[in-house]
Amino acid sequence: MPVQGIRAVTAARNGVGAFILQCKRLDLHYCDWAGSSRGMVAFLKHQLPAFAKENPQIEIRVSPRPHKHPVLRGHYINGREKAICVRNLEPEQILQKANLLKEASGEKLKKQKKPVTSLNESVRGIWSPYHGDLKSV
Amino acid sequence: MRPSVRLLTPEASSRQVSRLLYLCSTCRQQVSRPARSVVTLAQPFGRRHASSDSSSSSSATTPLTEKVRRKIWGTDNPPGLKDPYGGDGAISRALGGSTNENNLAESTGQQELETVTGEDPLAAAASSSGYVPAMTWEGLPTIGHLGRWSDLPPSQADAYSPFVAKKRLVKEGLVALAAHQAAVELALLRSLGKPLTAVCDVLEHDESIFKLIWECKIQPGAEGAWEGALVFPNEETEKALSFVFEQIGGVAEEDIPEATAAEAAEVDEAEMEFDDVEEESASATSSKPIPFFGYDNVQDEGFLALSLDDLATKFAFLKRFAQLSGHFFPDPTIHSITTVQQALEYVHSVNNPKPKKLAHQLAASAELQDLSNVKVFLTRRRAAHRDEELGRKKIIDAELRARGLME
Amino acid sequence: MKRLQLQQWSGSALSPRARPACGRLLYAGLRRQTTVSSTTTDAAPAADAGVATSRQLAQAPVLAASSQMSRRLLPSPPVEAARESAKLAALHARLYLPSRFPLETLARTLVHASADPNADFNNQSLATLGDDLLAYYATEHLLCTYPRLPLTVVFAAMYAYVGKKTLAAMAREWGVELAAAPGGEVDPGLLQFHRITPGTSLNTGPITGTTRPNDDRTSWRRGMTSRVVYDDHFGEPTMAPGATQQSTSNITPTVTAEEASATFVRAIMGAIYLHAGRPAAKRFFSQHFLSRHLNISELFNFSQPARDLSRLCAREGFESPVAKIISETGRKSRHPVFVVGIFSGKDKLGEGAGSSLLEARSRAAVAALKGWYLYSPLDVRVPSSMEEDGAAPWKPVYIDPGEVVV
Repeated sequence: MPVQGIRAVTAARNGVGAFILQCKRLDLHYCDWAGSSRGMVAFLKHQLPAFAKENPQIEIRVSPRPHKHPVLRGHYINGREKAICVRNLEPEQILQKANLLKEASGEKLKKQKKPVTSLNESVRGIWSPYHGDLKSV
Repeated sequence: MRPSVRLLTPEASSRQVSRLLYLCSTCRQQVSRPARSVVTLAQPFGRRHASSDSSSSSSATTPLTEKVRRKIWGTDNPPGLKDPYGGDGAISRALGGSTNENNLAESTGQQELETVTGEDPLAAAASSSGYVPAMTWEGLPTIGHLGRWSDLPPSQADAYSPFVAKKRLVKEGLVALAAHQAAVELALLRSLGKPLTAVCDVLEHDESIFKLIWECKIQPGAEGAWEGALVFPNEETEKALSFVFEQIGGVAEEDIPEATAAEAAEVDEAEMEFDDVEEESASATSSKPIPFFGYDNVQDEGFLALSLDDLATKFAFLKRFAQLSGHFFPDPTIHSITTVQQALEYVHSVNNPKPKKLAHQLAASAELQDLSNVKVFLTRRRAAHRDEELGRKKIIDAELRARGLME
Repeated sequence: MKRLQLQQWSGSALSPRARPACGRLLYAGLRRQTTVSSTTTDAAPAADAGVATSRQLAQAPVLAASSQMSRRLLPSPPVEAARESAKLAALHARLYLPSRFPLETLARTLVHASADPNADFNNQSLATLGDDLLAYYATEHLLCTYPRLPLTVVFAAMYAYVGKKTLAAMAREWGVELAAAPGGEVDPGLLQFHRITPGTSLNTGPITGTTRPNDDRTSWRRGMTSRVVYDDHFGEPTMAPGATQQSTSNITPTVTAEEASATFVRAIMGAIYLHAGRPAAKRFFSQHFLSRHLNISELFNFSQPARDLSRLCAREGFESPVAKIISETGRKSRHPVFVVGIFSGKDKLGEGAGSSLLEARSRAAVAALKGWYLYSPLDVRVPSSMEEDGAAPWKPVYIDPGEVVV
């Protein structure tokens, strides 16, 4: 057999073709009684419909969590979760947090040291000492 | 005697006082002088201090309490019982108590004999009928309750029939019927010049009368005026209703029996009265009357525009409406209501209260329900709910049942 | 490929048929998104709200419980449940599925045959169609883009694009969660399948019952050309219809999560083709499958590259290849570097660097062969482009005589 094939798996490039939003689910918890939930209650009544309409790909679940602070919990495709306690926040601030969760990828927060992350090595090629102007001693 | 003198007196010898019993020094001295003259007995036991008036004026038999009473009243014959603080109590005295009381009353002769004379026949009667003191409470007259007032059985005075109907009407149609009926009645009474609240004496009209009322239309004048608002379907109805309400308005304090308006033009008064009695008895024996005789909704909604600006009209209307529908209006609401429409809106808001829990409010919001990616839960989501969603719960339940830990 | 018009038989594809012997609760057509149950939404529009709100809520949990118990009896969620699931609606939007694609079909694609054997309610038929479509589109893309690719590498590339592992990874990347066990009460947005018991051995030895002849013989050689004739688009033997691969015939077949996910993706493809037509299917393929990155040059595994290159040059009529050192350093040291180029006459076919002359020459030969096999024409046009309206006249695609025979 002159040549064999090696089985591999294609790597996803999110956004090159279709873009899959990484936040797949958002849990919103509130309390009917506690004062720290006031902003959350107002958010749920007035701003949630618009937010949910803008993001139809996020599954939004609203459930009470009695006698606890209000919480936004985002579930991501990589299996991780991010939770933000929104106690005593105004509805606009809660919307900001919701957008923050929506835009996150679910990965742990890392410091980006390099400006570009790519599958290709370089556009102009890596310098080689064996090609080009070879200096002979 | 004075404390300083006390120490000079010899104490009781050990023979007289048992060593096991502790006695204070005052009591010891009392014991050591058992049979003294009447003078020393005037100083009662336990008395430590000298009393200036004890030596001077008191007689041997007056106790301290008597002396205090005399001092309070300022006379030697204070009113009241001979010995209010001592002797038998009022109850035993009432049942023919001890004879000591009587004896003392006779001896002093300064007591008020009213109570004693009042007790005398009682005591005599008790003793003559063979009074035996009771050992248990069986057969004795009960006074008071065994802990709570609700233990007592209800008496005649406890019966209460409220003015406002017992059950609040919930259906929109029935509420409208009540309002329409009230409006028609009031309009009639206004036109007849009768007192407006007279109709409240009539709890429920007869079916035929109600049918006539139902058929009437209300066409309020400009700005909801009541004058000329009532429109009768025909002459007969007008005559019948006018007659009925004349009766109602005329004889206000009696319980007017409902009038049966014959379908024929003439109505015989005597015949009516006979029929009324019959109807009354019949209605009294019926078990559960259908409200508004099974009518569902009003024919005409003109009554909504009637104005309730005039306070008397407003009060009479709301009173009748409350009686019929069971909805009572709090004072601030009465103040703010100006039309019948507003009254019905208030009733509607009472019947359909705004939900308190956020989950119910969100469930009622159409905008949120239209969104297919939003799910609102009423209760807290637990691990069991997650298991149910994933299909694990039935496996867990089956395993628990297999182990005999469930059901 | 014949275009299947869904509109003609959309009714039969979409209508829920009666299930045998299951008392299913059919809710009123109002969509409920809450567990504050349907009684409130049904009663609210009515003018005569004769029942107080508190009583409605008291009824709600009772209704939910009875419906849940009856749903547990079903093998998969009822059709009405598709409208209630927020997960399903979110998945529909996440994949940018066209509006003609109903939620009920999406719910159906998530039910594997092991969960529900009823062919009207599982994704088996959709998966078959989708599998064929994926295979076709991937094949034509590969063959038209790399006409000279050897067959083994074609099989490997096919597996990379539309193989089981890739499809399972795609299902995960789409955010599809797996149900723990199938049932009627499960959320319709979860992938439902009957899980294989952990510890079951998957390699059950020689596979019999395939479409190949003589598959029962243990040392029968399976050549590449025969794979083209008998096997599937990955070069794997296909089972003949009617024969089961599993030796023990189970009443309820079990599958791995990977297999179930792969079936789901194939079913989605098939369903898109049915509901939205061929252009939408092609668009879906190009957006989700072709956009994935694959370095085909990494799929080659040569055993004797120098020999293959020399046979190739002989076949093509080039001058025989000669390896020459382009540059070297450290020949007698511990880490020499030789840069060797293979020349055919004056043309350099390939270049490779290695720590020994042989290694360098092999790498050079590999580079030369890859340069030959990975030829790609500038304008790639696939045959299925002719199915569109107003397609330009077809110009034949370059077809290679094949890989070199040694």
